[in-house]
Amino acid sequence: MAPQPSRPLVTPKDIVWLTLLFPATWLTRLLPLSWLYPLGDALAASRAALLRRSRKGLLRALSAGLDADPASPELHAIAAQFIRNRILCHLDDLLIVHRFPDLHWPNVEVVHLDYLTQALSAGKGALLLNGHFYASRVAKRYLAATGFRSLSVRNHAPPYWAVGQFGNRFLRQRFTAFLGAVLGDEVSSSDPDCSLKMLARLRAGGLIDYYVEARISREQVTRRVLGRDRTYAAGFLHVARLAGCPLVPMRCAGNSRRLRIEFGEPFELQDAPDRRTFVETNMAVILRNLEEQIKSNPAEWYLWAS
Amino acid sequence: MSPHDLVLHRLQHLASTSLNMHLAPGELAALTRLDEVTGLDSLAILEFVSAVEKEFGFTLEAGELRVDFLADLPALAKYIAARPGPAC
Repeated sequence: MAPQPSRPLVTPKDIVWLTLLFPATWLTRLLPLSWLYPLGDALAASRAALLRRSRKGLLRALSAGLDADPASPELHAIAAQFIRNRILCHLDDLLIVHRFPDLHWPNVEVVHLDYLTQALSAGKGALLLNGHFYASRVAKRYLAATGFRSLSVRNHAPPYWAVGQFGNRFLRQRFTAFLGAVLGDEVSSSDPDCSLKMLARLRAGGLIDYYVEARISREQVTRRVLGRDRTYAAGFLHVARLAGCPLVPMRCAGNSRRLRIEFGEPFELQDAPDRRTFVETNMAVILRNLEEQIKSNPAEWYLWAS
Repeated sequence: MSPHDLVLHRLQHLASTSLNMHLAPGELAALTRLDEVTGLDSLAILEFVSAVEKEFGFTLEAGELRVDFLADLPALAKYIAARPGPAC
C-alpha cells in the first residue's frame, strides 16, 4: 500500500514494529526462555506504569463500551492489564515464530472441549467463532499442537491508521509475514479462493478459526456492540450454511504460561425466508455472544483502542 | 445439442442467476469465463458452487473447490457431462 503523504514519517507504531521485527527477534532467538519471560513481565509492568497518564483514549473506549465511570479504579485496573497483555502477547508471538519447539504449555485450562469434539463428530467440520483476544493466536497454536489444527481467515491488508510512512514502506510487508508465521495456517480474506478454501476445509471435517470482528466482505451488517455502531462481515455465514457445519464460540485468555480456552455451546444456523434475514438473525445471536465474552474479560480484547 | 453443450447452457444460466448478472441471451452464450466477470468475488463463486451442486445433484470434491477449476465454464461442463449418473 502506498504511504499517505499526510502521514508522519515515523510513529510510535512504527517503532513497535521495528522493535518486534529486529532487536526483539534477535533477543528471542538468543536468550533462554527463563530470561525472556521475566524480561517480558518487566517490560509489561514498566509500559503499563509509563502509560498511566496517557491512556485517556483507551479509558474513554472502555468507559463507553462497558458503560462505566472513566475515573473508576476498576477501569484503570482494566486499562493497565490491557497494556500488560499487549506486551505479553507480543512476546508470545515472538516465541511462537522463533521458539515454538521450546514452548511447554505449563498451565493450560481447556473448558468444554466436549463442545468442540461433539461438533466435529458429525464430520462436517466446525467454524470456531473467535474474537480478537490477546490469547487467540497462542490458543490456536496450542490447539494445533494438541490435534485441533485450524485454518485462520485473515485480512492481509488491514488499515493500520497509526503507521507512518516509514512503517508502511519498510515494515508493513515484514509484519504481515510475521503475523502469518504466528498463525501458521491461514488464508487471506482477499484471496479469490478464500470462501472455497474455507468450504474445502470444512468438508474435509476440519476447523476454521474465524474472527467475528472481521469487516472485509461483500455482505456486512452494522450493529450496536459495546456502545457504538460497528460493521461486521457476514460472508462466513454462507460458507457455514453451505458446509452444514456448526459454529462453536471460543473464548481465550492469558498467555503461553497461563492459558485458558473455553468453548461455548455450538450455534446451529437459523434458516430464514431470505438472505438478509438469515444474516441479520444469525449475526444478532453471534454478536450478543461476542459482546458478553468481551464484557466478562475486557482486558483480553485488543480492539478497544482501534 | 450434445450433452456437453446442454450442460454448458445450464451452467451459463446458473452463473447468470447466482451471480446476479441478468444477461441477455446473446451475452449468455458468450459467457465462458467467470473470472472475467466484473465484481466477481470469493462469496459470489460460493453462490455459484451452491447453485451447481443443487442443479446437478452432486458435491464438488475439496480439490475442485478452486476458482481456476470453476471459472472455466466449458471445462466444467465437460467434467459434469462425463460424470456418471443422471446429471445431464
